[in-house]
Amino acid sequence: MIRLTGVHKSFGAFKALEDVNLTVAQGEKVVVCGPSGSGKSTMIRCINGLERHERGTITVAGQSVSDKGQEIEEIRRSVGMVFQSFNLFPHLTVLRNLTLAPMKLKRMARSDAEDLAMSLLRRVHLEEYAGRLPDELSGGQQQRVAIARALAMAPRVMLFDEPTSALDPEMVKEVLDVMIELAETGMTMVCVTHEMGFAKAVADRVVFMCGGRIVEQARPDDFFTAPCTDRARQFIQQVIH
Amino acid sequence: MSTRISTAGQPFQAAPQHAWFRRLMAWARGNLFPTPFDAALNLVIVALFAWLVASMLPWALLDATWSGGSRADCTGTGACWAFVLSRLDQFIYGFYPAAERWRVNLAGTVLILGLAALLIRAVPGKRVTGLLMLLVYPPFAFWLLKGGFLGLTGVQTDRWGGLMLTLVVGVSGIVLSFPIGVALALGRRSDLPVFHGLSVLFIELWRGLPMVTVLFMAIVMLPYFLPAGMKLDSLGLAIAGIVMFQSACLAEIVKGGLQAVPKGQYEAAKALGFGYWRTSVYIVLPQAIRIVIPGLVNNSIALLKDTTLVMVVGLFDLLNIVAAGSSDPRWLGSATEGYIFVGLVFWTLCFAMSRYSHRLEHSLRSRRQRLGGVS
Repeated sequence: MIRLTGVHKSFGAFKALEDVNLTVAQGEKVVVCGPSGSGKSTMIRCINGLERHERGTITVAGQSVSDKGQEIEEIRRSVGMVFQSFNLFPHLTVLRNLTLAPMKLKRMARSDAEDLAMSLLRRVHLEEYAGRLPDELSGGQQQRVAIARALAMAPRVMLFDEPTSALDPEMVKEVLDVMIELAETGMTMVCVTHEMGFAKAVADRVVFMCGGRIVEQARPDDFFTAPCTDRARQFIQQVIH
Repeated sequence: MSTRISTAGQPFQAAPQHAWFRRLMAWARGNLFPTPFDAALNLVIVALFAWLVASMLPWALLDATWSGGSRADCTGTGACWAFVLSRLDQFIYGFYPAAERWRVNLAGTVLILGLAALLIRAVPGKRVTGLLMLLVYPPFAFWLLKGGFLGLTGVQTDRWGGLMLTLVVGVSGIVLSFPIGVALALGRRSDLPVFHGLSVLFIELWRGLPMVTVLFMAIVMLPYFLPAGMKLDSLGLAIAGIVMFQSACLAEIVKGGLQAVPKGQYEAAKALGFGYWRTSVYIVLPQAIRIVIPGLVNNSIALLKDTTLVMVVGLFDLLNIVAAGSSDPRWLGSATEGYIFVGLVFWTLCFAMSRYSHRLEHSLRSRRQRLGGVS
């Protein structure tokens, strides 16, 4: 489904990604972790072209991620993304946040888009908030709306960029629960997160990054109990306490 | 700061019919006289205001003359409103032929009704009305006012004048400069070098010129560059000049709004698959314009007042026609009354715009406000 081959990316002199190779199969759930500045976010932002990679190739469902406007827009429509800071559209109600993209990008009729939106809001347990503005919701609720908004485009892959890092601790669970429910539907998911409980429960594979490289890839059980590298061992100790 | 004294809950209430008086006194004590300094300040201001009104009133109303055929009919100590009233038709319609003034009235009525339908929130069908007013009304009003085709006799623009001309220039200026200003603001922030460069050039050129210069250039210089015998309409030229100038100012205001929209909004839109134009139209501009509403209204108010500058190109707008009227030998010495009248008309229009923008900001802040512009 997703294939990164020899991907490089630098910001000025700083090398954010160095020779990253990663393959994610259909239906697979991959958790990406690693210390801050290790290139996790940059990597998944390259997958939908929010950052432009410099060398190597990235393909999503066989389509190459290039910088040509039309092609990258088509890829983005089939790749959902959830941000750390939610990024809901503050001038639109929750319902309009969900219907805007299907109506404008897929030419879906308003009534169909609204039906779809309501069914997605039910899935994230927020159907009674359809008429509210994002500002009137808690962080956890906003993030669940953001997940529903991404799902409204019926993506084939979902990317999560630290979806719970900006949340108060008591709201983390409600977002993770929605993500776990989503994983159970068979969605292909790539999640940058430090939630190791989530990784153990859901991930087929944990990818550990450090210094812009993928240092280690393993099943969660193996990764947490017997990491191969010292850096991964240190990281696990710090995250798990 | 101020100690608010409340009568509520005090054990010995006075008779109920005095309750309002006690509340008033309590309010006055709390808000007008909380400290001796505040009390003194308030009294001085009230006294000044009373003196101002008392000294204006006899001249403006009590001793004023309301009817007459010339300055000689005015009593001398009071204002001569007869000047304004006897020429009111001219101040409103300019030299528009009396038999055709129904056309101005009709255009004005439709404009007022259309604006009311757009501005009063309870009236439904905002989108249809908005489109009609933006796309159908301008050619309709042009046909009504100018005529010359489809059964109406032509009235050349040199017969237009007064309040009608002021509104034609003001409304066209505001309506035409808005889309150009938004396009320039987008251009200024664009990555495309040609679009960006031309936008910056346009903005900096027009913003750096005084409006009077622009109008002079349009009327005096432009004909030199045109083929001999070709004559452009001075009203059209004046409006074109004003639109160029205003759209450059507007672009700077809208640019500020664009800069205030967080980067995450662009990214969220991109990630959903929106391209540049749809991101701008549905996500960025609605937020940016909302942020700069006070600036936009301020700009519109400035534009309406700047329309008086068209007098330098020989157009008889409200101000110019009143000034011309007061130099009529029969009305010599009536300039004060004329200028007060012009001031009142402009103030009313500008104050109405300002109040509306306050209400708009308030309602945009309030909960449950759905955005009408995005579907």
